Amino acid sequence: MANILSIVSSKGGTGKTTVALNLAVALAEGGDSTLLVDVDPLGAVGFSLAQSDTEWKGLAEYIMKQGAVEEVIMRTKLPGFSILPRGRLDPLDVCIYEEYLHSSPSLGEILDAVKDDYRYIIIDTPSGLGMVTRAALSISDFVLIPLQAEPLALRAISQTLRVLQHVKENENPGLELIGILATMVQLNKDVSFNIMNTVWASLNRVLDTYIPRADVFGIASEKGLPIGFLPGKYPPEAIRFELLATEIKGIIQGLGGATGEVDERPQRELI
Amino acid sequence: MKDRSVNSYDLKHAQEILNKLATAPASSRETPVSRDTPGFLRLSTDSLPRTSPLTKTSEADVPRDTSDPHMEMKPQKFTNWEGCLAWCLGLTRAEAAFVVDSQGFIIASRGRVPGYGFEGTGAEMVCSVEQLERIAPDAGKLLWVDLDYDKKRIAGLITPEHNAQYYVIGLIAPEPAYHSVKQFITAQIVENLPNLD
Repeated sequence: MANILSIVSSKGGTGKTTVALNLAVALAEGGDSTLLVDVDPLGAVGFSLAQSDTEWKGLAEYIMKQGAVEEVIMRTKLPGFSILPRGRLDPLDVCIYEEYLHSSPSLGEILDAVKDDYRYIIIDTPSGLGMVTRAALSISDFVLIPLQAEPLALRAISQTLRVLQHVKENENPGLELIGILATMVQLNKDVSFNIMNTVWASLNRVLDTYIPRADVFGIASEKGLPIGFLPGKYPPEAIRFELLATEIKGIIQGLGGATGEVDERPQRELI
Repeated sequence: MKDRSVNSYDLKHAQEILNKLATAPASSRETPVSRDTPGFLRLSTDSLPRTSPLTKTSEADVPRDTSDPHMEMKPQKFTNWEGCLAWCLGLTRAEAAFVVDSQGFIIASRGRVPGYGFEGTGAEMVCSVEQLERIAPDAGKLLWVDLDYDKKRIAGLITPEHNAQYYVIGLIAPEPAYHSVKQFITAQIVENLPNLD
């Protein structure tokens, strides 16, 4: 039974898609079967992997009953890692898509159909707190909030938390916050340093792992690859995502989710 | 030494919510969304002026009649009230839906839930059922109420008793066309009642 984790932020450009993709890859490479779901009408996951807008069938086809579950979920070359793309959604129909996803059980249905096949289902949501994000939150077990280390993002964090609280109290009582993940951190820059100081001092539930701003993300995006798949020396940022995956798994286990990890070990002898 | 302190962020409300999220049990409904956050304006689709259709004809080669209320007109199987309410929302295009038991306690809600929740609305509807049935005792048990206020419509389905309990499913601002599917909604919910208890 999968742990469904939505990546959510009211502000755009906080790195949701980058986090969703690279976290999902890190989980899969760690041996956990993982599904990455792109509910963003923009189709950002596909663009991150350098695909054209109409290349992949996906959620849009499932909604329109033009594709069965097994047809729209795409296996990748990484064992245990699959992607449910947005589909070939016409930008003219985004309003209909948003409204339908919000008011119908389709998203929950498709995930129900596959959640025994995966340990983790990572949902990449659009920026903002609109209908698609609300639909994702209503069927998720966990939520992760990327927080860009810059002033506007910090001022807006309450918006996301307010919606999260409302959804938990009124729509999805089982929803749990994994935490706040600082992204695009540049501790050698005054503004970013100040933001991080404020975040660490003023807020709890901030994850120990943070994601630095780094050129490697642009390079990976240009090549249409997760950062761990780039040629050459293994990027330290990819190691960060491995650490993030480990931290998140620990939190999920602490919150009662099933990670498959064995919590207890027998005593061992050293000498 | 360079001053690296920052004091221009009011994170008190953010931390309050984080504290609530950390301590609230999963089923707690005792602490509704804080009303301390100043100045938020709540919108309602019925009160917004409509000057043009919200959606336009698409050139994509996909059927676009997704607002057809008969799209979900096939037998349903619900395993929980959340799924049932989601289906009702899709079928009636209501703004929100909720279900209360015969004691007036909210069991589930979905859609655009106001900050004050539906506890009051649900409880009042339950109270009104008995009184409304007294209007015409020979007409049988009350099945639906349709309340047309000047700002919005509220509809409610009263289920038959099951295990000495009945439920009121409330719909906030369903589209006028929902009248054509009321009977179907009734049949599906009544049939699924044993799964929903």
